[in-house]
Parts: sequence; C-alpha cells; structure tokens
Amino acid sequence: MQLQRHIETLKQSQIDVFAVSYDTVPELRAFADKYDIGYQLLSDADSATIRRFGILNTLIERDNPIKTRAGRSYYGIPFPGVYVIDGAGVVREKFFNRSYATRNSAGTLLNSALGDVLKPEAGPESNWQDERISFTAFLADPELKLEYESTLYVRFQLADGYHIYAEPLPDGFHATTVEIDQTPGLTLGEPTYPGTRLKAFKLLDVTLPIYEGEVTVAIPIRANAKLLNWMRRDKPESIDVTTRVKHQVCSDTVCYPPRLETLVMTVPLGPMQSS
Amino acid sequence: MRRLIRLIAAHLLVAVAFSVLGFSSVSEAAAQGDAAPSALKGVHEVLDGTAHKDDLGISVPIPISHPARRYPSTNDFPTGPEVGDPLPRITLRNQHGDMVDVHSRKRAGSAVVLFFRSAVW
Repeated sequence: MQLQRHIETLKQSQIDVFAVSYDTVPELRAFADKYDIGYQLLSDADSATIRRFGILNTLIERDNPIKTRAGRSYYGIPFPGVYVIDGAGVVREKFFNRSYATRNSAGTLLNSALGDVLKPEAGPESNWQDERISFTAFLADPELKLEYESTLYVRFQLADGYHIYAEPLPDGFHATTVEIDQTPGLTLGEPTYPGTRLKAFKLLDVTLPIYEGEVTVAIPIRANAKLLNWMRRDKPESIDVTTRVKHQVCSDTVCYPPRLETLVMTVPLGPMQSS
Repeated sequence: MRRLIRLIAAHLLVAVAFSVLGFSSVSEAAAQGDAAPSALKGVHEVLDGTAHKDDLGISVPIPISHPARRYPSTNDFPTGPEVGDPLPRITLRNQHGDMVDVHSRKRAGSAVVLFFRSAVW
C-alpha cells in the first residue's frame, strides 16, 4: 500500500481514496490496524461489486483446489486496477495493468487525480537553462520500485515572448521532442505531449503549433525484472536515466539554432521484492 | 476491447434468454460475470504452467499456474467502465464495519477507486 505515504497530500488535496478487495471486514480491520491505513478499505467479500464491474479474474476456476494460507479460495479476486473519478462520479482516467506485479506509482495516481503534475520536493531531477528557456526532468516519485509504473516528466519554462514548436511542421522548423535512452532494466512508454496553440506568423504567412509559458511532457517509466536481477547481483542504489531534449526557441522575429540537450538524472532504487 | 464488450454483451443476452426459459444455473453463472470471454488466455496457458518465470521475467518459488499468479497473456482483457462512463454504484462496508457509498461523498473533488487482490495474502 504505497499510497499510504501520500495520504497527507491526498487529504490536503481533497482526494478521497477507496480500496476494494474481496477480503472480509475483520481482515480489513486487522490490515488497517497493522499498517495504520488512513483511507477507506471496502469489503466486497462475495465479489458482487467486482462482478458488476465486469473485472472478475476469470482465469481462476471457481473450483480450483488451491487455497490461500487462511484457507480461502483465490476465486473472486479482480483484475487489479484503478479508476480516477471526478466530483460527479464519472470515470476520468483508469489504470489497468495486465500483470498484478505491475502497479501505478502513488505519484502517477496522485497527479492524475489532481489533474496537475506535482514535482516531489525530494525527488530526483536534472536541469538545463539559458536566458530564454529552462527545462527540468523529474520523476513523479522519490524513487523507482520494481514493477511500479512511475512517470518521468520534462517541464519547460519559456521566458515571455519566446516559444518552441510541436509537430506537424514544415521543413526548416524543429519540433520539441523528449526521449529517454533505452536502458537495460527500464521499460519506457510513449511520451505524451500537451495540446498546442496555433500561432500565425504573418511575415512568413504560416500558422504553426507552438508551446509557450509552462509545458510538461510525460513518459511512463518502470523498473522491470532485469533490474531486479542486476540488483540481486550488484546491489546498486541508483540508476542513471538519460533524457534527450530537442527544441528550437524562437520569438516573433528571431529563431535560435535547434539544440539537443542531454539530462542525466540519478534515480534512487526503492526496496525491491518480487511479489 | 470492442470485441470483448460485444462478447460480454452476447453472453448477457444468452443469460437473459436462458433465465426466461428457466435455465437458472447457466444464467446465474453468466449474470455473475463468470462468462469468461473464451478468447482470454492466461500467461500460464500460453507458457508452460509449471514454469516459475513469467513473461515479465519475474521468478518466484510458486509456478505461474498457481491461482495467485494468474494474469492475462494479452492486453485485451476486461477493465470495466470506460473513461467518460459513470462509475457503477459501490456500496460496501469499510474496515470499521460502516456502510460506505462511494457516490455520496462529502467532498466534491476527485477520488481514487482501487480494486486490489487482497490485503491478506
């Protein structure tokens, strides 16, 4: 229950948390007492809610003879996942991973629920800047943990009067791109770029998609089992994540040469255990 | 995903038909969500079920066919209501034994609703 660490932030942000499982009320009470859980654990002991959602794990047979240590059937558990709902109870985002071993990190869920990207105070980061643009790569969480899907963000800050570009562009202009180097032990997702503004350049007689002010690009990042094997062998405490940022800064009248900058971020590795 | 939804819808229709005809045992299983889309296969069915290492490279002392380790072999599996849909009703007892209705919250902001496997094992 990695969420517990973020519970104060969630509370301050007015975000309620409900965690549903097929456990009984006394089992949930024992768990909540043991780990000092401050959010709602809900007991769906007959899995009726899980069924109504259509997410019963149908790969487990009802009569499978293997039981849990407490003597209970495994049948009745869901395909694990998370919904983020708004004040009207409508699903705004959902996260389901094929394997129970892959979970979404607390930082990623928190940002999704907030609809805003929070930069952790003590998390790893790497910066670059000149007088026109600055950008920072940072992680949603203070560390990477095995099979938790976290998010690497690159946040751009442009000085007034300057912009950078996004695809699609005619020849001669350079779109902003963010790429993480393929690294053994890390599984990377596709980057998500925010929406652009269309700006008309009268002198050139073109209209181009641009970013101004503050812009944040997100890339899913996960520590995979290769990293676990490496950790068992060499016990490293961190991993270097290299992010390459391509951009071209322009004002209404001047364009500066496109640049490729490399940000190297040293990311602490959390306690690893295969579940 | 669409194919899955169609499959589930088809199963539900069959369930309704059977319940009308009085085949209650069949309809019960389907209505309860047990109607597994036959196409959905677990990793333990695609790989050797006695193996300890799964397709993510995770290796633990229990075999991948153990019910605690079963997960879909592809990304095409049911994940419930879609983004934009209202979340179905959740009225359940919490760890203190109190009845909780997720849709009658005091606060107006976002909420996170997790479905997890178990707090016990």
